Parts: sequence; C-alpha cells; structure tokens
Amino acid sequence: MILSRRIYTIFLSSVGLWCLAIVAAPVLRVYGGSAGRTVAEGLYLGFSKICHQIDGRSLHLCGAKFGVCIRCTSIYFSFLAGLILYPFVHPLESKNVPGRGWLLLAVVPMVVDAFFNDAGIHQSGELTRVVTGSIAGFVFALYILPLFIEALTQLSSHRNPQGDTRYAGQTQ
Amino acid sequence: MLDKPSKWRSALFGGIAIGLISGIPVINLVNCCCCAGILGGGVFTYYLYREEHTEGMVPLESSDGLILGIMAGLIGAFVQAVIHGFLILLFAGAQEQLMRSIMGKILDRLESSGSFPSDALDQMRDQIENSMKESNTMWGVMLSLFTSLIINPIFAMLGGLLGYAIFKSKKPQQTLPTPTTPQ
Repeated sequence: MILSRRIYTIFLSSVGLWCLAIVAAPVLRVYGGSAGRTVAEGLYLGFSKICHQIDGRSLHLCGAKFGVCIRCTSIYFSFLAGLILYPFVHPLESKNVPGRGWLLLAVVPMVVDAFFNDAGIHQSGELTRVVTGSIAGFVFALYILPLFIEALTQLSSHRNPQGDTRYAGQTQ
Repeated sequence: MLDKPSKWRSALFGGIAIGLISGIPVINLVNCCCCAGILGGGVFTYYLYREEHTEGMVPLESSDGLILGIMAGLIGAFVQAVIHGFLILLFAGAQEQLMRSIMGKILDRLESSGSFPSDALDQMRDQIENSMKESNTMWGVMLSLFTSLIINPIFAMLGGLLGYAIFKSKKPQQTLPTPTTPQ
C-alpha cells in the first residue's frame, strides 16, 4: 500500500468522523436515551470551544441544532468534500499547492460577510454563510491535504533513513 | 549545509500568542469562527521560524510547519490555562463583573445595529452567563485545559501547514533526497 494513500485514508476518516460528530450531536440528544444524551452534551461542550453554537444560526436535525453553526458546518463539510474529490483531480503524491492568492480570494468573502454583518453594514443570511463558508473550506482542503501527506511522508523517511521503500512513498 | 534552527523558540512565542488569544476574555471570541485565533497562531509560529532560517541552512519542509503547529498548540493550551487560572485567582468576582459589562455593551450594540435577531441575542446572553459560571472554577480550568490539549494542536497544526503554503519561497529549494532501498 502506498504510504500517501494510507495517510490520505486516515486523514479522510478523521475529518469524516469530525463531520459525523457534528450531525450526531442533535440525533443523540433527541433519540439517544440517557447515555446518548450524555455523549451529545459532551459533543456540544467540545464544539462550544470552537463555535458560538447560536441556535438561530445553526442547522437543525430532529428539532435540535447541529454541533456547530451553519458557517462552520459549511466549512467542515466542504473541507470533507474537497478531500474526497482531490484524488480525482490530482495525484495524492503531488506536492503542488495553489498560489497563496487563491487562499486569500477564498477567505476574504467569508471574512467580509462576517465582519460586515457584525458591524451592521450588511445583513448576512443563511445563503451567504453557506456559500462563503463552503468556498473557504473547499479551498483549505486543496492546500492542507497535499502538505499534510508531504509532511508525514517526510517524517516517515526521516525516521527510516536506511530506506524502507514503504516510507519513501513507493509501492510495497 | 547548516542545520535548521531549533523549533522551541518559535513554538514558544507562537504558543504564547495562541494562549493570549484564547485566554484573554473578549479577544478569545475570535476562536468562535473555526478556531481562527489558533489557526492564525499556527501561521504566526511558522512565520517566526522562517524568519530564523537563513540561506545555507537545510531547506524548510512542510513537516516543519506540522511539528511547529503541534508544539505551539500544546504550549498554547498550557498558557491559556495559566491565564485562565490567574484571572480567576486575581479578579474572581471583579472579572465576572467586568466581562458582564463588556459583553452587555457588545450585545446592546449588536441589538441596535439590527444584525442579530433578538432571540439569538437572548440566547447569547444565556450562553455567556452559563459559560462564566462554569469556567470560573478550578474544575472549569482543568476541563478547559483538557479540551484545549485536544483542539489546539489540531488547529495549530493546520495553521502551521497553511503558514508553510503562504510563506513558502517561490524559488525552487534544494530538497533533501528521499532515502530508498536499492532495487
């Protein structure tokens, strides 16, 4: 098995679990019984460190809000979509990342939307939050995935300088 | 070729920045948007490290960004806990009053600007009130440290990788040969 593919699988699974936890929080709160509710409260508590979780700004499932707000949900799920689609358009061994200008272009609409809304200049709606968050999350994936694979491959080869081919990104 | 500089110095300063952003009340609201403060701290850590790197040294790699981010995230979690505990010990009641007053002003301003629906603002008031009650105990500090030790390294690592992408030199670097087994 190629090391990069293995790293990709682990990374994709981790992000998938993260996204699953966002959706699982409301389901467990409503249908999970007492144990499920405890897990759900733990998930809500964990996510509260990274998101405001305002009810009016969150998607709902089974009558309970997601673990994070609609903007964060869009970022994480489009990040996951970016990870899933990446191997179809780029080889996993590729070390190329887009120029930094694209990163700026992807983040600016989201920052402007959030900042102008809080400043009372423009009213951001669910659509603008979803669209701007999705663009940012998707583009983040195009930067982070190749660098993450490259970084772990480098670390593996540093740890195995005598050269086990599995750790040089080659086939076993 | 010279070795790369030690990562500890940059990670320490980056960690302090992450701890300050996450630990100081009001400023820590930045983290409400997908841990933007911690991500930014990871980028800042890589930037500091790159500033220490000079020509003639072994080229920087993406793994440097990854390790720097993790180190800064972990240091940041402890700095945040220290700030949190320090604020409780020093200002316990006064800090709560001050926070209540600052947050009240911010929420009033948001209400008058009309950018938030009033029920969302009421909910924010409740959340702030609850989180102040929960966090102003040593148990709250320990719980916060536990979650930060998980979340900070993840997001700071992503920040470190983004920092590598942002500050990467455009001219081609001489890369180290990847060791392989002779065929």
